[in-house]
Amino acid sequence: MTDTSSTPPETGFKGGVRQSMSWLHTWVGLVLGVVLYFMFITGTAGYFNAEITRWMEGTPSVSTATVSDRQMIEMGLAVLERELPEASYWGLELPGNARVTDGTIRVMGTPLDENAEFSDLHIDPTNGEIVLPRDDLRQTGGGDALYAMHYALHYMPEITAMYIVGVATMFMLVAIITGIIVHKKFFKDMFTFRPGKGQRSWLDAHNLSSVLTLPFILMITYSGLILYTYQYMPSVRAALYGGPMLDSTEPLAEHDAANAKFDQELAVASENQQFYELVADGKPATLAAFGPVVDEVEKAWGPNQIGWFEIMHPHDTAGVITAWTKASETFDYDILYFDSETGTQLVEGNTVTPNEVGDVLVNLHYGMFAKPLLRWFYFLSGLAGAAMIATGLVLWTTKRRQALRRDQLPDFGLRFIERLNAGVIVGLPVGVLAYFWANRLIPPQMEGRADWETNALFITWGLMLVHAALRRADRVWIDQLALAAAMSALVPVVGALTTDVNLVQSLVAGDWVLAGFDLTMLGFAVAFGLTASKLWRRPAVLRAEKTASIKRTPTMEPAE
Amino acid sequence: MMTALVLLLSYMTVVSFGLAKAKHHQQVFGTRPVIRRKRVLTAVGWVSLGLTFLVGIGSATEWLIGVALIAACFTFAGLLNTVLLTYRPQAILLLLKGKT
Repeated sequence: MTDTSSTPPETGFKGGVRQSMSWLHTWVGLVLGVVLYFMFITGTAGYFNAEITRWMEGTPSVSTATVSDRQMIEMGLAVLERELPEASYWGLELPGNARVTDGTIRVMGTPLDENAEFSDLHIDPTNGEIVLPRDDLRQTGGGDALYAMHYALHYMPEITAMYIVGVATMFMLVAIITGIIVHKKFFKDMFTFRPGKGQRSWLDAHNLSSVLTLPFILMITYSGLILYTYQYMPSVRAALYGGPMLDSTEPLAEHDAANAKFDQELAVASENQQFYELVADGKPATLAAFGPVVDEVEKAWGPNQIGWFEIMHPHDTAGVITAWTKASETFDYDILYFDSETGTQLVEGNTVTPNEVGDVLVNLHYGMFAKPLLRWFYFLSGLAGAAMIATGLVLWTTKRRQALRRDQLPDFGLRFIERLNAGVIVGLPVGVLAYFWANRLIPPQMEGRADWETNALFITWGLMLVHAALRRADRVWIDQLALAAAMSALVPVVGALTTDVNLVQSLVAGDWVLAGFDLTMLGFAVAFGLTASKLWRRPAVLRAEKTASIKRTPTMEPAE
Repeated sequence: MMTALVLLLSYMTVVSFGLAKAKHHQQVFGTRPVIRRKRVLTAVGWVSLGLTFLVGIGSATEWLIGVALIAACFTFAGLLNTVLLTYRPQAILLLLKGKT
């Protein structure tokens, strides 16, 4: 079609549909690529947030004993009654639920004072004693802090971040749709990859990573938008259901009240309005015995199916007991509700279709239902999504560099993006590795160490960007890839030197969460190392490739 | 176990549809497919596609989990096929022989 090697196609909305789509795809991708790459890397890590937290806390598994749900709930409630009798909310998460990976019962309570911190305790199910938080436990942001950056970014108000993320997500959707139109030729030769051919290879890699993971990428992007519908369009909810417009200074309770009213309208014909009244009556009541409640639950689901057990307002007439199935057992949780005073089951109204469709999308996004294999697929698909963005960014520069005449020097824009690409595509993973290193190296008792873990991520990433800006151009990628390889290879070593756990011990104990983390790091080390050594051996070939590309006749297809 | 079968079926689907394309057929067999073979491969592709969905959804506790698994299997079957076609096209031949 057009001669892309000499005239860049992005001259604005001219020509046919495909040309203008190509223009949109290229520039949207370039401008938002960095934000989207950050979102993909941190979000992908989020699929293993509980596992990452566990590794960062650096504690061995407590127990693999099988204790019945009933006994564990008894232990958990006893601890809550003793430690947090005043709490307005009690939650118990039983071992085997998606977020508990160390064999403990996790119990938490919210104090009546909304600003006070959530108390989070871990109980050994074999003896009912509190094992966490221990004094020597590392304070850590864990996988959750890493995952939170995926939607709340960092160093800015959450509202600001939400809008940046929202704009990026919206344009991601634009980039996907335009990408399908621009690259539609790809569907003809589905599985083509032509390595060692410069721009052509990058185009193939970009196409492959997007088309093969298209179901995932479409789902994750669209559901990501759906997740925040009411935050992005707050006036709709505010006009119909009251409550504040989007404003972080409004108390949370007012948002809750508006949401509750909204949920109530979406649910059809509920027999009990109790679910929606999140506010306590203020009339004290005795908590019903949990035994009959567990009986009812087991009658419905069979024994030992409970993942979460929670009580809203345990000592108030408005209280509700809720039991949830284990997250990994069902696509959408099964939930049963009971009156906290009488222990009688409450019947939930049916939800309406739009709400259900929304739930399906949100569940697919979180992937809480995914058992290990599918969870790995989620993780790898996320990495493929990051690779799609990375290859797209590299393609932008490769294409422009190959279009240069022999006597032509690259302009500032091209050099800027080339260096930015290196500092982002490899620099960010180096930053994430620094996050793990910081967790092991900052003294366990240091004040605010969790914050410094995160600071370490961004400081290191900043250094990588500076390095990319100053270093000899042909060495930037090699340096950073080699650094990433070394840092990931040494993660298990640093971990073994600074904590009571190490890879060998985790493997012997069959503790696959801790061992899996270390092994994954070694896997990344191999991947970074191979890429670095491939680039290291390239310079001689590069020159030949460049000459060849100049001699080559104009390509037959628009390259982007 | 059933998951392995879903993976196998999705890989069969991907290989069949892939080999029905002249270029990929050439990569593996060195020749372009004759019309008849092209039709057979396409038919096998459709049948295994159907079977993938049948087994994938049938074996899942909930159909949506099945759909998520099937999508993931196709992604990685496609990736495997691409890697093999690029670097070890003969391996696909061996896999086909192993199956029949």
